[in-house]
Amino acid sequence: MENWLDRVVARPLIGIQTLPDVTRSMLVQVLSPVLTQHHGNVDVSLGLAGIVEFKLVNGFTLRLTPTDVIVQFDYKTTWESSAGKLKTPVVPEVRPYTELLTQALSITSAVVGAMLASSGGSQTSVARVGIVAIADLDPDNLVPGVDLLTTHLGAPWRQRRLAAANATLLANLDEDNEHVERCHHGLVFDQAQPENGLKLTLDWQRAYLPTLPEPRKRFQGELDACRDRALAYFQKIGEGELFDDAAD
Amino acid sequence: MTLPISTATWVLPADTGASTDDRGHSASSEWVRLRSASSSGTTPDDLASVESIGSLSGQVSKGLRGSSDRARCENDAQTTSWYRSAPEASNREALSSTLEAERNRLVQRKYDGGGLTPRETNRLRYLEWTLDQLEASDYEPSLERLANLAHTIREFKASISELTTDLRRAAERPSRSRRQK
Repeated sequence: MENWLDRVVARPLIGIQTLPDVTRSMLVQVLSPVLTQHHGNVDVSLGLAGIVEFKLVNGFTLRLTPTDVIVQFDYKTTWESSAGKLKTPVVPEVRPYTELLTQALSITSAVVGAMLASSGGSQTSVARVGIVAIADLDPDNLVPGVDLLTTHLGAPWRQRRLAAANATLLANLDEDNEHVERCHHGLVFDQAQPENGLKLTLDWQRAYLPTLPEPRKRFQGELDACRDRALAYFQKIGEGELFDDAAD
Repeated sequence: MTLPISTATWVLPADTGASTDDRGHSASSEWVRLRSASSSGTTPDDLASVESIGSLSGQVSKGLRGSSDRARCENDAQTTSWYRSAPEASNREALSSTLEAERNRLVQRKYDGGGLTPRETNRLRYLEWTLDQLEASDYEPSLERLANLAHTIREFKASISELTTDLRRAAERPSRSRRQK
C-alpha cells in the first residue's frame, strides 16, 4: 500500500512494553533468535538502570530496558579510506520506511516471541505496542497534510507562518474494552536554522487495559494489526484527512 | 479522560535533536561496552559487573565468529542500488500511472463537474505532491551524473590552466642550452 513516508527520509522504531520486568536471565534466550537471524557483528552495551543495547550491523539497534523492548533503525555514515587522501564519508542509500519497518517488526517479533515462549514467559504480558516514524522533512516541500498541520498550529497569528516550534501533541484516536489507541505527534523546526529542516515524530501506540490477554497466542496477530492501523493513521496525517473540513 | 497507564514515548531525546555521541546516546547517559565482535578489547571488570554476562557474551561471540563477512555482504546487498533498482523502477512506473489517472480524474471533475469536496481537494494536493516526489526520484540519477560530470569538467579545466601556466613559464625562462650559446 502506498505510504508517503516511503517518499521521504523516515526511520522506524518499535516499542513493546512488557510486564512484569524483563529479567536478565531472559537475555540469553532473547539473544539467540536475533543473532541467528542476522548473523552479524553485534556491539553489546550495558547502560545505567540495567539497560542492555545490541547494535546490529544492518543499522538496527535492539534495546532492552527493564520494561521495554525497543527496536530502532538509524542511518549510519561510514568512512572510506584511500592511501594519501583524507577519509571520505560514504552516505547510505535512503530506503523506504515501510521496508525498514518490516525488518524492525521481524526483529521485534523474534525477540518478544522468544520472551513469551521462554519458561518465565507465562508470567510475561504485553502492556503496550508502539509503532513510530521519525521523519526529517524539507519545510519547503512538506507533504500536504503536515503543511496543513503547521499552518493550523499557526492559525491564531493569521497569515503568518510559525517561526519555530518544539511541540508534542498526544491525541487519543480510538478505544474499546480491551485497548486505547493514541498517537504522540512531535514537531520540531526553527526557521532560523533551515539546515535542520522539520523533524516529525509520529509515535502511534496501542495501550492495553491493562495487558494483552493470552499474549503467547495473540502477540503476532496484534503486532500485524498495530502495523496496519499505524500505517493507515500515518497516511491519514500525510494526506491531510484530519483537515478535510478545512480544505478550500 | 485520564489514561490508566503511562503516556510515555519511546523516542529518546537524541531523536529530537538533543546532543548525542556517535553511538546515538544522549550525553548524560553512561554506557559500558561489554563485547564487540568487531573490536577485541573487553576488560574483565566490564564483564564482572553483570550477572550471567559470561554466558551472554560467550553466546554473542560464538554466534558471530566467522560470520561477519557474510553479514557485511547481506548488508551491502540491501543498500546497493543495483540490487533493487530494476523492480523498483517498474513499481514506481506502475504507481505513477495509477496516481496520475486518479489525479486526472479529480482535475477533470474540479473544472467540469462542479468542484471537489474538501476530502477530494486534499487528496488532489497529496497526489500532486507524490507525483512530484516520484518524478524527482526518476531524475535523481541523471542529476547526480550531471553533477559528477560538471565536477570532472571543473577539475579538467583547473588542470589545463595549471598546465598552460607551467608551459608559459617554461617558455619564458631561457633554456640552459640557449644560455650556453
